Amino acid sequence: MLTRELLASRVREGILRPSFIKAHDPALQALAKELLADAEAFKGQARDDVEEAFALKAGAFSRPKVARGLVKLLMDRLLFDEAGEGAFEARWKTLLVGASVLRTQPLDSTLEAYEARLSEALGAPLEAAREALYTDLPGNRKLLGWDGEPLTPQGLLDRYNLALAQGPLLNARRLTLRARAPELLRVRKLLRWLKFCRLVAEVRRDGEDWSLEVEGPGAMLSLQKKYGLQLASFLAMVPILERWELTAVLEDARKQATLQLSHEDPLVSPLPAALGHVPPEVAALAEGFEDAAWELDLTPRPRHTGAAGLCVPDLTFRHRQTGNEVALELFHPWHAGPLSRRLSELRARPDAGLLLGVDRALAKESAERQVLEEHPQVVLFNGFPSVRKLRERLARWDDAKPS
Amino acid sequence: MDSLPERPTEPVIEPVSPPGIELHYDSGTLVAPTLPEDARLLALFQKDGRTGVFRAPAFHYRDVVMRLRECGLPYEDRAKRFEPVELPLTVPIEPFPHQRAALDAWTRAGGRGLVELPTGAGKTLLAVLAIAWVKRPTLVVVPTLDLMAQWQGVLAKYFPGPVGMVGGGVNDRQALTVTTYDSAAMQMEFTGNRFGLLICDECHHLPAPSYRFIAQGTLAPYRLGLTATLARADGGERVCEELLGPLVHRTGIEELQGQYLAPYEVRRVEVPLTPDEKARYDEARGKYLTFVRRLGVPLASPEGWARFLAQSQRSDEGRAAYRGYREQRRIALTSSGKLDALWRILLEHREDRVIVFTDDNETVYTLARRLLLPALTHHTPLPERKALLAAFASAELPVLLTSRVLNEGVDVPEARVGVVLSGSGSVREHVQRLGRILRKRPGKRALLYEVCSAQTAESGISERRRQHRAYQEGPPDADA
Repeated sequence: MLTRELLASRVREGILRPSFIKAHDPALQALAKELLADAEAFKGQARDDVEEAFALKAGAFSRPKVARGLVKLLMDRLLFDEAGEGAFEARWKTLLVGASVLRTQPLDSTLEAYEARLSEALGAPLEAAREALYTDLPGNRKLLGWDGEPLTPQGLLDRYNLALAQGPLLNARRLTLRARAPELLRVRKLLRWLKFCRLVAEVRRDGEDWSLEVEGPGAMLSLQKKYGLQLASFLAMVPILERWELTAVLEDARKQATLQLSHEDPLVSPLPAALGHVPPEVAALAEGFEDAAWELDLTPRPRHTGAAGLCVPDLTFRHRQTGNEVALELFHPWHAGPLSRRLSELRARPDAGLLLGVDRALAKESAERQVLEEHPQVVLFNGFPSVRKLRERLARWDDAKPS
Repeated sequence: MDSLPERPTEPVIEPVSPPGIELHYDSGTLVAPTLPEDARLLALFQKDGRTGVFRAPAFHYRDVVMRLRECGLPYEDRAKRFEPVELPLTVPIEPFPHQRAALDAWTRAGGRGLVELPTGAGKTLLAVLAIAWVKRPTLVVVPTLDLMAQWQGVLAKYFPGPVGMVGGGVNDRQALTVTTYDSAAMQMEFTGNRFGLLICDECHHLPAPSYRFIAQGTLAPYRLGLTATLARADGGERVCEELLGPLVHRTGIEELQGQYLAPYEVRRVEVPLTPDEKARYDEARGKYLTFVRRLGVPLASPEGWARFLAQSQRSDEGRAAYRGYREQRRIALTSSGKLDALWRILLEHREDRVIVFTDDNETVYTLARRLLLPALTHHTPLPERKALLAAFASAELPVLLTSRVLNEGVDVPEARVGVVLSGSGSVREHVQRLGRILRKRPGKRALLYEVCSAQTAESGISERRRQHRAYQEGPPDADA
């Protein structure tokens, strides 16, 4: 993240737009390359020296503020050593000498006399003792290398642009995201990231488009907590959507403005790109499911469960005549914990539109088996639920006319 | 408040049963998936249109539970993650009358409220008595790492079992845990359901926007706020009252001085700048003031300083003005006259324990290197802080140089002499610094020196910070 003084933006008619850099600008590419090369070359040097060298380089660049921002993001990724062994012990000895000499000074002693006496008692030049006294302060720690994966020049410039957009979000209480006809796997990944960031969202669909009002759980309660850091973290995943628009009202101490971002901005997600996949069994089920009353939809529709849960069911069945929907969430043998949690959530907050498909491997114990077999919302299966079994259960649902 | 009900033991998969009232904790909020039609209960919550549940700030937990019990409604408490614990005192405490009165007032208020006692009056022991009375896991929130280490030491002395710390690179949560305001603000959404008693030491910090969530986001039905100076210029004490409870007891410094606090004396030492320093000071200050006046920046207003900083970075003249500001300040704070004055004080009190306060770390380390005396700043690692305070207590290292980390609460009863070499214009900071040397010891008479450069802006700063009845020059008898 960038600190406030390193952020760059302009506000026009109440709209705040970060001053993004062109990440392919040759001068910036050259600077980023130089900075990364310096980071390698500075290994073993003290933090103060590294910072000073970078500050000089940044100051000499044609856009010093941008350069300082790149340096900040770079410094955040560098690892420095811990305090050197023995520094504390050596200091302690010196300080004891200082205390002992002070105690024995006559009342009319001068500072110069004290210093001369110190030098004698230390048996070494006073200047050397002064120099060595606090060598283990953070500014004296040595650069070890990268804290994690090394950055690339392009990666550093992309992170700068993302940080320019994340910074203002620290002053936001909520954001609105609109995704234009996104791939469903991208939506699923974004919703999981939302939960990971400990945020909640009101999710709406408008045809192929999605709209999310994202905020912290306590945002509706006028709590002092802003959740700005979580919103900024959430933004890091948004660029995977490909076509999107984001707005957030910023509550700066001085003035109010609205941050506007979209897929046209040079934002790249630094998070792992893998989107996951639709399991072949689910794809096969979707292809082979045929029913006169029900149709199957793979769209990930989030459901709030229990007090604070969010599930993204694997499948949704929609009644062709009534439009009623029944979602199916699958629990495989390795999902014992999530199943227990979901059952508990259903007990606290019933949700008639949710079916739980449970592998029989999770019903080994007789007490548990009985509970699961009698549960009106559980469909037990071996390996994967068959089309026949699902149609049977949906037929019963059809009779019950769930809302 | 009666003890809260036990949580039932749950089977892995529970039988199907009709939904009842459940309380959950979610990131600093209290959540009920369903609620009965009771107006008073519903008034404590808001319907969450995003997730379909009822949601309230976590600090409403006590009122919610009380109402459910009052209505005789069964409920399942899945929110709290704490139970009553046995916390017998391992060392008996015979409280002073003012401590007894404060504890009585707080328990009569149901274990909620604020207590205002002067520094050195034994707020920590009052807290120990409160913990023993409540018998619940307790989180103590303090402003600094030094206070965290000190509280941990005191709690470990009076209670069996480990006392945890969270902050300064340590993350050890126990039934009794001490943490800093900064760490608590970051951790509360994860741990706000783990403690039954919240103690905010130096609770005048709590109203800061970044800290309020500490009290808003925790369930803790029992709350105690401790401070020597509750009143805030911005009226923030009302926030303390809302989140921790009303002011239930106050004892003033004048009521305890001499009897429970050491008698004290304040001496002001004005030192002149050398001609060379004065010339450099005037030149630097001239550049700074000329720029400020030309801009018409009202430095007395809250926005004035921010405006000066912003403007000073936009031109060569502005940058020169900013350098001028730094230089005039540095000269006033570290003049050779001040060093001489400090040296004379250190010599005069070479048999005493002396704490030297400055305004910034740079000055602390400059003095430490010059005199080979120990520095204690926010850079000092926790083990070294503890070692330094112990060595100070034993007189092994009788002088401590510090900036602001020892301003508040840290218990250094052996300190008899304080030297304010530089500081802000804050009355609170000054009163707190005075408090460091007021711990009573037989025969102890505390002495606070304030060294300031004459004919500089520091004289004005000094005048501003002395606007407190406890902080009057001369011996206390003259004050009476």
